[in-house]
Amino acid sequence: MMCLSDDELQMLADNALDKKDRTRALSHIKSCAHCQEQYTQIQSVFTFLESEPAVNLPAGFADAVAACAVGKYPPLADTRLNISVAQPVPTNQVRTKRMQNRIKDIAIAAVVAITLSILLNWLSSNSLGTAVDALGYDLDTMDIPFAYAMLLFTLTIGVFVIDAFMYRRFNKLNIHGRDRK
Amino acid sequence: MQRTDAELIRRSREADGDAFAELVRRYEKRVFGIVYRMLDDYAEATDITQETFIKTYTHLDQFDDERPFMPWLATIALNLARNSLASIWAKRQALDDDLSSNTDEFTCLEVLDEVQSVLSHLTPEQREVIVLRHISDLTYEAIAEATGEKVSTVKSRLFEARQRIKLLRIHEEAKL
Ligand SMILES: [Zn+2]
Repeated sequence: MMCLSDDELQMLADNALDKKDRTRALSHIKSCAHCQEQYTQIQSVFTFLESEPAVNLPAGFADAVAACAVGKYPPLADTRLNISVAQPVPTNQVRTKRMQNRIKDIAIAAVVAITLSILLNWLSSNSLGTAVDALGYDLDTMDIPFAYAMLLFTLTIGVFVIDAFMYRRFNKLNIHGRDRK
Repeated sequence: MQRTDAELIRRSREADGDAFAELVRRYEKRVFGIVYRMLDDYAEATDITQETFIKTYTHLDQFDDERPFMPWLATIALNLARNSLASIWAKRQALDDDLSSNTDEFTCLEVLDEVQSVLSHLTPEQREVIVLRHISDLTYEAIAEATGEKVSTVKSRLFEARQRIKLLRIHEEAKL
């Protein structure tokens, strides 16, 4: 058999020969000192080229990049890795988050205000009614606190629903972050 | 149990940061290797590696799950590195022009390792096929797709580049 060409030897090293040619080439190399020497040289070029660079990425690179990609944290330029950010968090995600936070704040404020007003109302009506009439409440006056209680109950449920919805949205966008490490 | 690439990609599409971090960990060395070996600039290579993964993340919907991940990733990294190389060359050119008028100044070039200094003797095209073959372990066909060349061109370019490297190394050893 003829000696292997340089291209054939390189393809052998690249694992790019079909099975038949590969077997033939390997058996030739075994019996031919010249081709064996050539093949060894190619393999040494491979080893050389595949040696790792002396430098590497900073530790924690993957986590930082992933966090930046999913928008969990502000741009990476602010992190301790100090890697400049290529692409900021998509603004529509930031906007959605901001809007959701605003709705939540308004809802909480409304509940607090209503609860306070009900409590004050209740207390004042009790003290104004005084002890004399304390037992004399009829159903008409009882209706007012009852209506307030129903309103409060409905609002609480509403806030729970909004909160649950937002929690799910945050988790999906991975910007909730509070219960993650 | 180790999760497959396909599973990590699927979860990353649903904005699972941990899954995407795992995916990055799996490929960061190879992506950095390609870019660093092409650019010879650590800071720039780190930036481009980061940019590659961010771009990957934002385009995950376009990735075909049936195919291997590395060739796709390598294509993105290669294109970003090519753009960066163009601007680096423009900057160096400007610096050279500057230096020729002011000979007292000197530039502080990054110290290259042995592989870098050998690769610096290749053309950018030869360098591309070498890094795609040896660092990302791509087949001739995948390299052809990533570089936009014909398979036959990739092969001849690769074989020539290795011949040149072989000679350069013999030359280097003779100098020692
Ligand atoms: Zn032979």
